Amino acid sequence: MPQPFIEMTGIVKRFKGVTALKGVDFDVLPGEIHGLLGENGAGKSTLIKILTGAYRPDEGVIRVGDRSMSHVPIKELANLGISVVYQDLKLAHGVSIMENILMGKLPKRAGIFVDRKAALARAKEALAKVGVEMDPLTKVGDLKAADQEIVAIAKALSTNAKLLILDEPTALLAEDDVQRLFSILRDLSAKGVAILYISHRLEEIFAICNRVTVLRDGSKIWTRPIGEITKDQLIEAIAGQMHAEGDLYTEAKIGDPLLKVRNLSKAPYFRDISFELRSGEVVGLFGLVGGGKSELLKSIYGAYTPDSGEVLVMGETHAKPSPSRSIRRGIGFVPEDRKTEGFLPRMSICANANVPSYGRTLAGRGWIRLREEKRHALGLVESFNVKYDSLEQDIDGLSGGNQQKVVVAKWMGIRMNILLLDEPTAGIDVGARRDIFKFVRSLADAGKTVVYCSSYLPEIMEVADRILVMSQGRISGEFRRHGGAFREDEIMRAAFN
Amino acid sequence: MKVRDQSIRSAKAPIWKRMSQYTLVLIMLAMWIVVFLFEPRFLSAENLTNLGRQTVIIAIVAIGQTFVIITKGIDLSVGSTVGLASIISAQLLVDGMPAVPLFVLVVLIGALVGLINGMIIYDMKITPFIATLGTMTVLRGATLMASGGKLISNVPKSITKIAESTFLGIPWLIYILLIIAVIAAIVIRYTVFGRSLFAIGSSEESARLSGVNVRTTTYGAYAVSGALAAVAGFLLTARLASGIPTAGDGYELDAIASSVIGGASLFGAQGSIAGTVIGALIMSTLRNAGNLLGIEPFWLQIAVGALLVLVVFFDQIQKRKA
Repeated sequence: MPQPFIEMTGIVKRFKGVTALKGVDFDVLPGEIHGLLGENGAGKSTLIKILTGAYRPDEGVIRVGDRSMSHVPIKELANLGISVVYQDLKLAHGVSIMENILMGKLPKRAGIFVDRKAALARAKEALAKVGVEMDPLTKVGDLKAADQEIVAIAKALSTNAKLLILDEPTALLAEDDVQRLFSILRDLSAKGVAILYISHRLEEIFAICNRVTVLRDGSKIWTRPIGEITKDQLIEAIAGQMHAEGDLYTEAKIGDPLLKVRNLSKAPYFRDISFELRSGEVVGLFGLVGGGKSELLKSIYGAYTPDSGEVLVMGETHAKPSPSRSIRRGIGFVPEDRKTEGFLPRMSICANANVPSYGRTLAGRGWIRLREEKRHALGLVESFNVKYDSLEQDIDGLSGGNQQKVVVAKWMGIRMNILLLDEPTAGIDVGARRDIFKFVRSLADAGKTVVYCSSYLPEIMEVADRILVMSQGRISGEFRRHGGAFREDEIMRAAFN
Repeated sequence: MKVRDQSIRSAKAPIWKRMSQYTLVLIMLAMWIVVFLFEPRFLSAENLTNLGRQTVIIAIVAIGQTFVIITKGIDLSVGSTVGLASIISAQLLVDGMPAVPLFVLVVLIGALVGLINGMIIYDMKITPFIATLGTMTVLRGATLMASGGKLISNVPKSITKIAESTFLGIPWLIYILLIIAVIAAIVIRYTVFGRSLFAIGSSEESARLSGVNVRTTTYGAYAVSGALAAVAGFLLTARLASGIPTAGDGYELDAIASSVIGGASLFGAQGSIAGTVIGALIMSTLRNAGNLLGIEPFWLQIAVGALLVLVVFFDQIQKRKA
């Protein structure tokens, strides 16, 4: 076996009380395509951030080429030959391919003028390395997603990278573009560039990788050549044999249907989705990132307009849905992106807790009474165990978990029967997570219904009565508890379907 | 519950917010004292009345502007609306229209201008700066064309009574400002519309997903701004007994400055009517004192600009500490 280009030994990384990596050994050989897999929260991104110098490990040694170090110095990343292409590519859309590739290192003449000839030549050379022909003067924003991906790769390689890290490069690509990308990656690997390939799509892993490493809960499960494993083994390694504990789960009385979704479609996100939600049940909506879950919830809520299909609320057609109309019919929605869609930044906790209530329950005779308003907000945040100093304090000062509690709690202020939650526990601590779980179960006990949407399965298995799996825009499976617990391997198989 | 309310009121977070308004009042009083020491006539009844009259027009425009700034918008068209309202008022007065229906008509025209701004911004998705820069230019052009660029000076003198008559020794103009300010403050504080202004100024998408009607709130904010600019144009005509096609030129900047000195933020979700009125008063104090002390008006302009930057700078520092 050749000497690895990069070798990490005994890597440990702790964050306030949480150990993200528990002594991981990991290596990448020159010229191989190495798949890195694991659920969200398994430690993949922590490992990548250590590889690219964004984090310093608490323990362990990293060897790159002939150099040993305790952490990767971020300024020397290019010299070490490590390059990353992030999922969002980080390209400047308003300027040309050339300027993107040479960003920050445009060749100059007389110290201030851009040497256009040299710049063009270098950009062409970088594109040639990837084996594509493009006009370097085209604006990046005018390229389609696949070509942008290729430009990002060309940019990453322009520093003579020996290791290229690709974070979910195909998330936004169509199938034939994926094949084109793969042939580029194979060429690069034949030239000796090592590629670390991160993806949730198992078929891609089998199509392109030489070896695979699986992480779970901060530990490495194994690294194996792709020829020695089957898809089922891979799924088992990712998901583990663990079944949901369900210590918070107690079944509530299931009643009448509150929400029916019939043949709802919106291209290109999802198509032909039908299901119903009954009073007293929590339905988990599980699927990989980018599987169309968020768009589905937003379409039910009326934030997006679906192409076809219909939504029925308590037996009546929900015509021309808009957030405002949905709220009037008792639907609440907690969006995925708390910062830009969830709360109102630079505004008080009081205003944040009361937003949906102002026009509905709080201003009965047209006027808002300040005392009433405070009492209302206080009731909401106290019932949810939010830690705060004052109702007048800006919500920005709260921890992520407490912000999210306010965002969820505000829906208790209206006559809400149906709550749609999109990744409600993203980026929040364990305590807040439990409070949200408990809240969700208490809604079911009160005869309401909740859609709990997440790409983290253990969480869904803990709160849900029933799990719908979404894969590539369709519902690919429906699962119920067997003797109180879900079978994780079955669900994962449906998600990777 | 009562005890809790107390604790809420005495909690630490909001103090600086209130502080900044006290600071504003203190700055103004300090200015008054300094000017008084140099020129005792400053605090004479006559001059204070004058100061009040000078403040009223700009303060009314600034109150409307504050509605818009709270939504994270900006309304550059208010100065042109003042000019338009001035010309329309003067011409219709000459034609013999009674003052009260005329006032209502002019306010409606102003609100319509605002509504058009709101539609350009919300429905055509054009940023407020560009949208209102456009209407500002169009309206000024239309006003100059309609009036042939000439003053309308044969307005019946009876109209000046509105501006000149007093009640309990205080000009009616000041009562008008106070009434407008109180109504505006109530709307902002106690109505769903008022709260919605702040919500969309904070985050339009969060507000929309929380059921705030972004469309009507945007329309409303610009309609209020346009209507109040029209009120200012009407009062200006009443004061000068003439219609001036260039009236209100540059008022948008004074109005924005007043709002911002008064604590409004162009990042949205911040601003108060009381602050705005004090901001307008500070600006007119500078001008008034400058006249009294015989300072060149050019220096005053420099002072107003510097004041604007300084006030916002101190506000930023306070916020960073908070």
